[in-house]
Amino acid sequence: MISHNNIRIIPKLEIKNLNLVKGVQFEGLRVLGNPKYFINKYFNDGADEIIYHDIIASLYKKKMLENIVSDTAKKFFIPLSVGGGVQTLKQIEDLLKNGADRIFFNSINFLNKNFLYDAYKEFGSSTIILSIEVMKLENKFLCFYNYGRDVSSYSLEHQLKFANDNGAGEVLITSIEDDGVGNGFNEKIAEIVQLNCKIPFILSGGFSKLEHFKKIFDVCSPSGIAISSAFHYSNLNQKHEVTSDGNLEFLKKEKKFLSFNNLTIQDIKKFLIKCGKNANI
Amino acid sequence: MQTYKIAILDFGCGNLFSISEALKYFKFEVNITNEYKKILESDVMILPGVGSFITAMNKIKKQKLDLTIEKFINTGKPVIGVCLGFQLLFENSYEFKKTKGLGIFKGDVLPFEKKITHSQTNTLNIGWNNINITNPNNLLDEQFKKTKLYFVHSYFVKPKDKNLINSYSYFDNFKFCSSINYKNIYAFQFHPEKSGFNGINIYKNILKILN
Repeated sequence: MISHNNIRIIPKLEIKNLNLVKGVQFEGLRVLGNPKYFINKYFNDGADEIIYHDIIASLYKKKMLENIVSDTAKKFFIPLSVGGGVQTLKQIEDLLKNGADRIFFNSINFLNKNFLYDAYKEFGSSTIILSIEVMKLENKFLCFYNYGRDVSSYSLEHQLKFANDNGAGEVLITSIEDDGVGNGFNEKIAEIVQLNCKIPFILSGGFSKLEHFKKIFDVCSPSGIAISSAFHYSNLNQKHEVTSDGNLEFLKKEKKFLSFNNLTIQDIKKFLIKCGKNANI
Repeated sequence: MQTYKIAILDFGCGNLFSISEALKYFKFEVNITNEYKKILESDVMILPGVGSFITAMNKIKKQKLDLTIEKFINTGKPVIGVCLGFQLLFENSYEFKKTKGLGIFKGDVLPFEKKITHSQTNTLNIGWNNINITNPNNLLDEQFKKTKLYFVHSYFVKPKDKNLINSYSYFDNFKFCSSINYKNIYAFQFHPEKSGFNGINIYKNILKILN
């Protein structure tokens, strides 16, 4: 029996001050609820992995994720990839000790070119994910850092080569322009990644309908798809506790957002199989 | 009911938290430790695994844990290797540079590089996959024939003695050994503690070996 590897479906949870939040194109963050509630849903729906991203850690040098990670690892026995504000090998070690399996980082690469290689040597490539946040600017796909606040001079191609050459096990590509919009992933980015990335890659940003997957599979073969808005907005308006920090207005109004509704992990996996791909059902 | 003690060898790297929580789920008393006495008085020893082969071996050697491991194996009590902990049992690994492992079994730890045909250097095998059990044992029994288990590794074990092999799996179309058993030693390439509630049942089966 020959089985090609499954495409992992990965709910991505962005965390700010212990709340699950989501923005549009990395802006206008809304509090959507308590991450515990969402994780439970996603685990039961058959998530292959969970991504936790502390989105203010890079900017404010805070670290808040360890408790959420250890709480999750205690209850659900699935892979956890964690990132946000990672700047030292010690931080990686601490996150791993609290139940994270793999660690991703982006901003530090623009301050310290050796960090990726050092992390690879210490923890092995199977533990290390390079995160790339990319957007088109003056006709070039450029890499951003500090959660989209700062633009680097590096092209997407450059950063992919950097990942390949320095021991990253996998790459997480987020299209900033598509993030939270739900109109599908950027096909041009997908093409560039397919052509330049020699290691497995996860795509994130824009997936909200089944047809979005088909379009992307025509141009590339991702090892995973990370989804946030489409899953979170499909599971909204449940009463659960949130911490009071942040923009709670949206949650209070109990309304829907864009066309995000009723996309389940199982639906996606069934669709993948229909497209001739493999999925873990 | 008797409470069994399990020692998870702490050689200073990786996620030991998840494996510890999975064992506690079945009411085992878990110690994450590098202390000789604590390890030897346990009913089961686990060699965990995240990190690079060379870093792990250096840490093991530095703390003389290789001697503790050998001593425990000789007691005949169950020993379980997981992922890197499985790979460490063999003679040599070629991660970064040729590095000597514990050498309990003959065989090498080799990179997937060039074995995988579909892409250039796509060498990380990651995701949930089947195991084809050729040789079931008390820990890895028939119930896991249809269970998908979580793999994340760039190197695979090639045991010299094929009789050790319990199961094999595929990375695309490349077949590799995904678990072994010899006497009191059981070891897997996959992570039961990351394979959902079905996966952690492998650890529940430790009770079958002990009783």
